[in-house]
Parts: sequence; structure tokens; C-alpha cells
Amino acid sequence: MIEDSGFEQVTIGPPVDTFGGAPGEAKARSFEVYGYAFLARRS
Amino acid sequence: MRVWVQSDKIREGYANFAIADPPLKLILFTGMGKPGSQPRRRRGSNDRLKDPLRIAYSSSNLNNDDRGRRMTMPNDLLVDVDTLRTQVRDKYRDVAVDPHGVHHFHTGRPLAARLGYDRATVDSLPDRAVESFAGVGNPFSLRSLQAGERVVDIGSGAGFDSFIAATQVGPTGRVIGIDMTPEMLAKSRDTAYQLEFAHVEFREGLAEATPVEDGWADVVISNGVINLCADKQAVFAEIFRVLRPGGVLQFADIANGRPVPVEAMRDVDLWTG
Repeated sequence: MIEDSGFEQVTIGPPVDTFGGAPGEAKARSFEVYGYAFLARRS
Repeated sequence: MRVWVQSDKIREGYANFAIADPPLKLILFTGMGKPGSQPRRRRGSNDRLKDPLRIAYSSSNLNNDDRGRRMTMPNDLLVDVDTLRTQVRDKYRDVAVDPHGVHHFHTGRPLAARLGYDRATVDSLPDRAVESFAGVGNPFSLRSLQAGERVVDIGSGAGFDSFIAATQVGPTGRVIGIDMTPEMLAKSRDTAYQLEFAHVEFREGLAEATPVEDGWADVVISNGVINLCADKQAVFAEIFRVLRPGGVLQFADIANGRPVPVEAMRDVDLWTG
């Protein structure tokens, strides 16, 4: 979707355990939920 | 900002998610790696057809891919836009006025440390600039901002990422934070005043309709906001509009490695529960 919107050179950073130790951790684990950084350049 | 699935609304096939009390987050990306994996770059259109790193739900007509990681999506929005916005405002009003209350996610300085923000920069900010921070990643981890850059922060909340950006771009740069929650806007504006950050301002607006002129920004940042927008294509189109040609989009958001049932994503009550 990012590329389809006119962006290029899309880079995705490593996953971060955003929810570790939070009340929602167990359920986040169930869906393998993590936070990511994204970097892209407008064409 | 986050999207949560209320446990009692999950269909039988996902009953294992309905047991615990804290609700589960809805996700917008699928097929992502696990902690410890390295950054990856997409190289071309052919790779795009095979790459599982894609946004999972949107207004586009999506189908299962050959790896079975992509969810089948209808060619319309999954939820009512206005209803979702109202629920998001309610949720983040609580985070603005009661940042130390019980939330299903981390907030404040502990969250900033978890997400890898520069400690010295965070320590330099007053509590009111950090306590309502509820991001999901670090939009500055892949690229630091440059002095003099003009930045738009989509969904700026209480202003934490905008203040980090203001520190990086310096007084020759400029930062415009956009948010739709009045309590967040009031808090961020007061903090900017206290910090004497004259190069930072906060404007009321939507991710799909930002009050910024065409091509103004060198950089657009965002943190955990796009997953809460029903029409993600509209959001990316708006980001494209406000960026100058060659400008940079650097944002953080949540992603899942396992699919969420479409029926669950169509229930607006599940997005912010």
C-alpha cells in the first residue's frame, strides 16, 4: 500500500516488543503483534 | 494510539483470544518478522507481489496471497469512519487527562525507554511532555531528522514525538503536529509554550485531511496512528500530498504475524475496546 501510494525505497525496521509486560501482552503474543519503524521516500 | 479487540466479540475460531480479560489489538500489517530480525528493503514491483510485508486491511480489494499470510478483504471500509473517530477520541482523551491510569498498553517514560528513544533527549523533556506518550515504535530509529527540516506529525497526541522532532530539527526547522482530540491538543500546546518551542505548533485536523499546504513538509512522522484510520489509502494519499517530492515518510505502527478474522475487524466496538 505504501508503494502504491507513490512512495519508494521502503525500509522496515526490526520488530520491537511493544507490549511486553503490559496488560495486553498475552493477547498480543497470540497474534504475534510487534511494533515496527517504516521509512520511505516520496517519488 | 492503538486498536483493541474486545475479547467477548471474537468468533469461535479465535476463542483462544477470548479467554483473557485485556482485549486484543487489531493489526494493520501481516507477515512480519519477530524480534531479532534485521531491517529489510523492498526492491521492486516483482518483489512486492511476493513480499508478505503488506498492510492487512484497507479500502483496496485484497485477496489471500500464495503464502496464506494475507487476509481476504472487501472492497470497502471495514467500519464506519465517524463512529471509529468518536471512539478513538474517547480513548485518547483518557490518556491525555489520566496518563497514569490503567491502560492496556505502556505509556510515558517506560514506554519511550522500551521503544529505544534516546534517553538523554527524553530526560530533557518535562513529565507533561512524556507522560501521555502512547506510541508503538520509534519513528526516529531508521533516520534522525536533520537541522532545518520541516516536519508534520500525524496524530501528534500530547506532543512527545513532535518535541523529539523539534529537538532534532532545531530552531531553524519547524514542526506541525496534527491531532483530532481536543484534550491532547490543549496539552501539547501548553507544553510547547512551557518549553518555549517557538518552532512547534499544533493544529486540529485528521490524518485524512491535514491542515497543511501541498508539498510543505520535508518529513512526515507518525506513531501508532494509521492503524486507527479506517481508510488507510486516504491517509497515505494525504501524506503524499503534504510531502515535497523526495520528502521522507518515517513512521511506526503495529503489525501482526497471524491474521485477524475479518468479522472481528468489521465490528467497530472491537477497534478501541
